[in-house]
Amino acid sequence: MRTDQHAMIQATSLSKRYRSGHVEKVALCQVSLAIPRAEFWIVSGPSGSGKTTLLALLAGMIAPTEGEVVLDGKSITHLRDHHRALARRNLVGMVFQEFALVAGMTLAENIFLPLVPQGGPGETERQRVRALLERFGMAAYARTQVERLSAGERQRGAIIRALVADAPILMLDEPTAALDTENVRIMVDLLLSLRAEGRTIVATTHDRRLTEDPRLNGVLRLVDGRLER
Amino acid sequence: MIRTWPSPTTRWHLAWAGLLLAGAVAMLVDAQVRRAAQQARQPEVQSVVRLLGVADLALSSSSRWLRHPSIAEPGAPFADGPAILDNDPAGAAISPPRASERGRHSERK
Amino acid sequence: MKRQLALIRFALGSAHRRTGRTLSLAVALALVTFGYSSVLFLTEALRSEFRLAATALPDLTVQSLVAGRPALINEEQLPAIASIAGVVAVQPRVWGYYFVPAMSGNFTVVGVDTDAETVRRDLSLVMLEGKLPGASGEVVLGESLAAFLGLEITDAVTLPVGRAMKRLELVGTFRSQVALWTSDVILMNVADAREFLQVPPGQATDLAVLLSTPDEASVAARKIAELLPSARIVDRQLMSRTYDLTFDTRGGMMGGMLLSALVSFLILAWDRLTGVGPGERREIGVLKAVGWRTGDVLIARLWENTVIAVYGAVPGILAAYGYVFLARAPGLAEVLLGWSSIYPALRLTPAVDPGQFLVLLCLVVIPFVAASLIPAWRTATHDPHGLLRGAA
Ligand SMILES: Nc1ncnc2c1ncn2[C@@H]1O[C@H](COP(=O)(O)OP(=O)(O)OP(=O)(O)O)[C@@H](O)[C@H]1O
Ligand SMILES: [Mg+2]
Repeated sequence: MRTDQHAMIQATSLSKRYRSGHVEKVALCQVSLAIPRAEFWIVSGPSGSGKTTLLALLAGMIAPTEGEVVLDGKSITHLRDHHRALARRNLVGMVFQEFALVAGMTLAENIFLPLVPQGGPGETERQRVRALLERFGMAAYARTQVERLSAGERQRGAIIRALVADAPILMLDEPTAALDTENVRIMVDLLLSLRAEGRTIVATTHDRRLTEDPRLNGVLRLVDGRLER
Repeated sequence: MIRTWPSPTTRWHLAWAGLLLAGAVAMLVDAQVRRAAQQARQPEVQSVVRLLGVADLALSSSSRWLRHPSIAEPGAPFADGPAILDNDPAGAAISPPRASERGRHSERK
Repeated sequence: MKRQLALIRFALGSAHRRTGRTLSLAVALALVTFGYSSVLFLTEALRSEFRLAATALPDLTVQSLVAGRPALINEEQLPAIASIAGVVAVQPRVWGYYFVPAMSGNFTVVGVDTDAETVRRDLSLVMLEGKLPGASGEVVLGESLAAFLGLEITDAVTLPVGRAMKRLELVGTFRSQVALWTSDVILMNVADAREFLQVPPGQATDLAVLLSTPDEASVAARKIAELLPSARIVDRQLMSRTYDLTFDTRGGMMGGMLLSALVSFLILAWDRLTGVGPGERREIGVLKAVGWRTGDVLIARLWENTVIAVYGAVPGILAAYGYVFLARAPGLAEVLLGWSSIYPALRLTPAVDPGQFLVLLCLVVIPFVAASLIPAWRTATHDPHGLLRGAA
């Protein structure tokens, strides 16, 4: 694999094996990739092929069994838990398949969650979130409890949360799973506008409507934990 | 719009914490007042102790047998130490069996 | 500081969000605290009442033993004891117990020298009404004893003494302020007391010794022991210790019972109370996923549990205070004090001060918070991906 000096996300021979009891499951095997800054890439593949695992590895949510992940020139693989958490907050915004919002909290509280350990949102962050809420058409829902929101609204809320710390990388797991065609189009437009701001975006999907969009920078295909070229 | 302080939750907590604090302060003040009243009654208490020479409060079981530890028998079994006075020769939370009192009664006649 | 404030706010929100957990924990802690505080308050109050009186006790009490049992003491060594250096006064005392089978009550009969000036002064200070006793047959009773016998001032009662009968006339009662000492007392002049208790002349129940320097009690005690080899000498310190021990024993027994209740309660409810449920696991996963460090999660958790513990413990302490000092500990007082025919009106003075309050609070809050932190720590060290998947 060519080492790209300007790659925002770079992985070298990543492997992940899950162990449950005596059974070992190879979820990912020798995956290498490099995604340049301000590009929009898709990871596709059938169910169980390791897409979510790859995304979690790239975002520093789990440690790889083998290999290394470098984000914005900094390796996050050999960091201790403490610094890996900081990398998660400052470098990566992650949107989970189930959105990972905390029920019982309002949307605004959920959005500001990443900022709590540093003392809560400052004026800049409030400004940014206000603008994002307007832009995503969510301004009316800031004080709504998240469990009252529709799936689409929740997803947009999760995206706003992923952007609250102004991380340069945005990762989304199955962003179109709950959306109809019209909403898929809106979602893609939105992600493209984020790319236009200079953010690097990686999303997983097995959705044709997404993989066949001509405006993407590239599509990676995973089959049984291996990258297909 | 996004400003949430003080949220209803926080307000609820503040109210409850305030209530508890007020309760604690009231308790401590009440205790202080009662202690002052106790101090005020010290001359009377000392007079009574001088008069009676008793050490024990006239509280239930102990007072049946033990108004004064010097009257307790030394070397009672199961005491905390062989040299120490038996600190609870009666020590029951329930009354003795009726039969024991009947026996005493007839003995006296 | 700003970080702590934000984490506290988050913790308050969490406590509010998990209403069921918060409430059940707070209630459980309130019950535990209530039990412990009640026992502590009651024993401490009794001790403080004793301390109030302790300084007025004779420095030494000399008592004779016959066949290893307390017996009457001969007054013939009185002058010899009085001449020991440091002894200010020796006073033979006549007092004892009087059991009335018909009423199954045991009373304390005390004989005093009703002509002595100091006695008259003390008496006038502690008597509620009536005249000072003087003549034969005149007695002063504790309030509850008078009520128990159904006597009013100037009423008379006839009680058996051996085969004879003795007529006693009630001339006054003790003030209720000193009810804790006097509720079972029959006070009369010494001659009557000798007759009543069948103490022959020349003998006494015990000798009260007053010293010029109470610190030298042990020296004086040794000298008295040389004069009266068979006597037992009790100093005031030993009496105080015995008294403390009495309530330590009973309080400890109550505490032990409470402790086993507490332990079984914890074993049964441990997981539910301090564990981390699936919902909370997921929430911790979310927090870690959005960039919280393990330490952040733990601090938030610590605040949340501290808040819950304080919310539970303080009402528990307050309730115990009300129960002991306002309601006079119905139920508990009987266990701690024992059974009796006559219960004096329990007029207790709380010994609780801010320091004690804080100690009590910490005794509940710190172990609970520490205990509940361990499962949270075990969860929080997992990686967020596993927590969110519900695996790990
Ligand atoms: N924590 C885990 N423990 C054990 N096995 C796991 C764990 N996480 C994932 N796996 C296994 O690893 C493989 C890849 O899982 P992954 O979630 O990455 O697939 P995916 O491509 O995202 O699938 P889908 O499209 O259904 O979301 C699966 O076979 C899964 O069972
Ligand atoms: Mg997946």
